[in-house]
Amino acid sequence: MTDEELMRALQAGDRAALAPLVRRYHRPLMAYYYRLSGDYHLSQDLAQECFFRLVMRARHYRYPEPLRPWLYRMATNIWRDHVKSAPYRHGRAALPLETAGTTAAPEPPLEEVVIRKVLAQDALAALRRLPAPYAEVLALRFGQDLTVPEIAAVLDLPEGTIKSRIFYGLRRLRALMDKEVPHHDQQAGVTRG
Amino acid sequence: MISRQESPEDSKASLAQVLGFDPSAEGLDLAPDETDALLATARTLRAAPVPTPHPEETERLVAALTPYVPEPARPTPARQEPHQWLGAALAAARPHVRLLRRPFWVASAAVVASGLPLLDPGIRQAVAPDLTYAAFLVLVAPVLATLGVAYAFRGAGTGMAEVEMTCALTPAQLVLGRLFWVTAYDALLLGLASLAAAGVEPGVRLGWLVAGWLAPMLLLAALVLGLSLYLSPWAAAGAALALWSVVPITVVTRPELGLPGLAGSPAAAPMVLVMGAGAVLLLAAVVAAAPHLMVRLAGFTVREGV
Repeated sequence: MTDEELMRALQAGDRAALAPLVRRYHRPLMAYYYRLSGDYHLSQDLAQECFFRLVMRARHYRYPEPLRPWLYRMATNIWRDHVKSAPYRHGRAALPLETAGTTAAPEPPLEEVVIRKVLAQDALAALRRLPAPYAEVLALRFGQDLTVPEIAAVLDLPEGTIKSRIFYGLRRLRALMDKEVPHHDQQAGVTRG
Repeated sequence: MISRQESPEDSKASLAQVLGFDPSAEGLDLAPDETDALLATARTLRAAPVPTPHPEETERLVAALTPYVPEPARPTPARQEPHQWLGAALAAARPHVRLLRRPFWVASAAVVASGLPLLDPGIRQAVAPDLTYAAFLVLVAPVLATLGVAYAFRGAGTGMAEVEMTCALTPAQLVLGRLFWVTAYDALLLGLASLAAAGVEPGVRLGWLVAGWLAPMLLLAALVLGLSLYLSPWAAAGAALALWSVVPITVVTRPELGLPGLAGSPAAAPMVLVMGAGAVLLLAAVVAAAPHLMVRLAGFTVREGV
């Protein structure tokens, strides 16, 4: 069954439709929140909140509207609510990456694995330092693989704005990462090209 | 990012693929040596490992959420093509006819019939020499529609509108369905009366007479619905009628003006155009605001969107 069919079944009160939806989107949603927050437990909480809203607001979903943008719009709103909340503003605590299992490890050789990990950590750290409008589109594009039209639907913005934010966001991300180059080079013992 | 060397063309193509669009085609200023750097950054970000939940966590989440799945509920209606939408609106209108009880049918017919004596020149001369039956119809049509609409939405504040919103219809269909019966019945009565007026009174042309009462009737009906966003339906009807009362008062106090819109002749064209355009715009606004209108009538609030 497609996401949309499952959602329609959920609207009709079919409890069996919930499990496949949660299994399909639990991991991507947690990844989305982790990219934005860097906090595994927070990502877990926000993903749960998102699924709870999905269940409670299922009746607002309009079949056959694609579910993915609808769900990520809700996820983004939850993230924005969190960012506006007092605990977030008065102290951001990011847990290290190793708090849980990670996605499949990159291929050997070992040296490249190490370099990639270091660079990836820097990329995620830089992403979290970007202004929210850039961080959101980059996380949706490069983390969740949403297309430009899908991101435009999620954020309710014109596609041109999304393209511009992706481009300039990536440029700013690169600039932030470049500031960390000496640190990288010490850690990884290599020079980036 | 460690990656094999690509030609500039390959790099640009790869960047366009990774970004999901070609920056050059979008007029985004890409420096010559920037392609590889941005491509490497995007790839790094894409490949960045992130924690994943354990399958057991996912199953626990499913178990925790399952009790919250609502009981079988109506799905929100699917998006419809315009012809489907109209068909559904008309189908939706059918049961609404039962909401219009005998007082509505009888009173509307009685009001239209009450002007029939004006067709007799002798009676008219004795009662209201300046008032033709055609002019009477133009004056009375908005009053009928205004009171009819307020009557049709009399369930406001009683909780019935909340019940109505649980039907498998959009709020716009609910509003238009109800409006349809009021205006259709009034139009039928006024149309029959117009036939009589055009047949008896000199200088009255049926088409212009019908246009002459239809435009203000729809305008006032839409106005009542629009005002119902802020007032109760009866208060909205009162406000709309107060506005319309300027016309009959002018007829009575300034008969020398003649009010060409009441003549049932091409002289009514400016009034018909202005009021007709106003009615269309206002009806469109009412349809757009239908969810808020139903919420207002139901007396509760909902959060839009997600």
